[in-house]
Amino acid sequence: MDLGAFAMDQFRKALPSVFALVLGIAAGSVLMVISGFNPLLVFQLMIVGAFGSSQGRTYMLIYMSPLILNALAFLVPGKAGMWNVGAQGQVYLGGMTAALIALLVPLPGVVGPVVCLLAGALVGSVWAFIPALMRVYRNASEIVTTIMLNYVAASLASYLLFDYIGVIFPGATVNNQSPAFPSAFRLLRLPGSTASVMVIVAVITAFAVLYFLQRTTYGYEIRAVGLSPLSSKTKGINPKRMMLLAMALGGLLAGLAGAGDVLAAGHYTDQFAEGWFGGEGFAGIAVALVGASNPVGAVFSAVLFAIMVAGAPYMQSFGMPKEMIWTLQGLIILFTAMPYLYTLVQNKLGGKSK
Amino acid sequence: MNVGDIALVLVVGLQQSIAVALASQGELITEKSGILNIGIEGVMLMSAFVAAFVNWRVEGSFGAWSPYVGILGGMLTGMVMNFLLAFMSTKLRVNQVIAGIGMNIFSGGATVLALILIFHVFDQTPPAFRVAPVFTIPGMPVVGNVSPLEIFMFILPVITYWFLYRTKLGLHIRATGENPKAADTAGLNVTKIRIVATVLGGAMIGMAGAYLSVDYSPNFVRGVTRGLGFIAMAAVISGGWKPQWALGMSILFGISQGLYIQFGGVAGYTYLLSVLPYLVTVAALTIAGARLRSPAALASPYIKE
Repeated sequence: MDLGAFAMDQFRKALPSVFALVLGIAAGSVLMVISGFNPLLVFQLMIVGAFGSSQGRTYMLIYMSPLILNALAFLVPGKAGMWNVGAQGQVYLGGMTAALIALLVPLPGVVGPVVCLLAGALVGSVWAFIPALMRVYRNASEIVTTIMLNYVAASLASYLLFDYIGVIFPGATVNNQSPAFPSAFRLLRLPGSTASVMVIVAVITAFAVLYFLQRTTYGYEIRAVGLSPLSSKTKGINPKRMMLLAMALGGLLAGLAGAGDVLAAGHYTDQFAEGWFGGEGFAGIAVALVGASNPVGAVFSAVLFAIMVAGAPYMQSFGMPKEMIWTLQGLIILFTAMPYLYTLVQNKLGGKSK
Repeated sequence: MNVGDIALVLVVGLQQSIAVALASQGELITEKSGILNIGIEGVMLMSAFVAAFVNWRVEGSFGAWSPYVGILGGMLTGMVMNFLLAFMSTKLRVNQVIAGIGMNIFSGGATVLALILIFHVFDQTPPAFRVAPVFTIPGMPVVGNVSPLEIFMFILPVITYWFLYRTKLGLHIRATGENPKAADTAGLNVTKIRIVATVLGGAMIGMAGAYLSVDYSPNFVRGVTRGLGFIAMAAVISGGWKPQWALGMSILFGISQGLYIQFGGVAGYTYLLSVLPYLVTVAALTIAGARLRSPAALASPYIKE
């Protein structure tokens, strides 16, 4: 296949996503008009807010890494037919683990952040593995259990970091924030920016996940199970094992996102604070869907969502509530759920169906 | 724990069950027709907001009856949102899980947006009238107030059961959820039946949302559903898609929340105890999960050949 044909092929695959994005933005614009805002102004402010200042550009880089990693945390289990709606909780525990190690274990130099990242990823993985076990062996809907465990994770993190740490360092926790970490645990930053190297880690991870899914045996088996658990069995694949593996990997990526975010200290301080992680766990779902469940597609759609998130504070300063972003994300997700609508429109326009 | 404590936990627990119990009956009818409504959390949240808004808006003309007008507003909201989901699930063949997640995220944003735009606040609407209690349990002032919706919580499953198992429409709904192809062959309009079932369910989910903002508390508080919709879904599943068991599971979750409310104040353990209802949900799904069977065509769009 020559490069032009390859590019055309990729473009065609991205079309339904673009279609969903356009419809989502159109529906969001209608909502903005109803709310009394000029959509053009909203999007202009969003883009100026994201690109117009060094602060906006830094925010974009900061938000991109959790968005990419959480999209991967949703799409890898999705390839095996599992719904990981628990990235938010896995992120929380990843962050909690990193924070606890940074607070309690003195580690020298570069070892500190690396251990924190790995441990955070591991705990996120375990947290995703629990609902996976329940789904595979007890048929407990992982959609419901992962969501329930999000609430449990948030409370567990709050307990350990505020109540428990409060006992070890009396008086150190105020306003539901943990004590500050030693600065040695802060992640390396990009040159000339307060954004950490996590964004590079996230992009590399996306390519690694693509390689894993497309070029390795495990990746192939995961995809086979997602397409049809029954026929994968005839190929000698164990669907249960692959579903467990895919969820564990998803949790690993979300845990990494959490640990990285807590140690990044870009626009945060060197602490763990209640509600520190906004809605990026759920936004990751939108990123994955707009990215057509392709790891590299997720990187591109993460840029779009990072513009929305990074532009929001600027929008807000002009009296436009940042919650508009959520409604926009919700609408975009809704439209990505309708590939059939795309087919309908395609047929109406007389386009040849594949 | 003495007898008084146990009585208190039961009383508070039943109150905590109301929203989940009402919503679970709505979700049950919806799922029986083959439509999975993961957006239930968002539907409840939107209904709660609209109910509070209507209640506050008509207070001047309806006085103490305005909460009931609010409940109607909430039910209507639930019906409209469930209609949208049913329309997308049947005519547009959406992936119902993704559409539900989208609805939840949308509702989270839209309700806060409405708070800001209509009330110019970030957290809650101004308080209005609440549904007046029918009676008060003797010896338990305030805590022992019994809302009419608390009584209705026990009546609704009877209606749901009668509707699903004793009426023709109920039979048709169950048929489209189990085997849409056979239902279609028998001359039923699968799409229409699914839409009707989902809209009916929406009325109950809307009532559950409204309960939170015109009865449980006199106003809408941002994010007030805090997972109750998902818990209602879990009640349907762990109750084996049976109206009476969905009520039973709802009460189990309510009582676990009641335990937290009564004993969660123990210094230093508030965070840990607050997870009790969520853990009970997960445990119920895990224990009951393997033995239960969902409607066979749940969450799969029916494509007529």
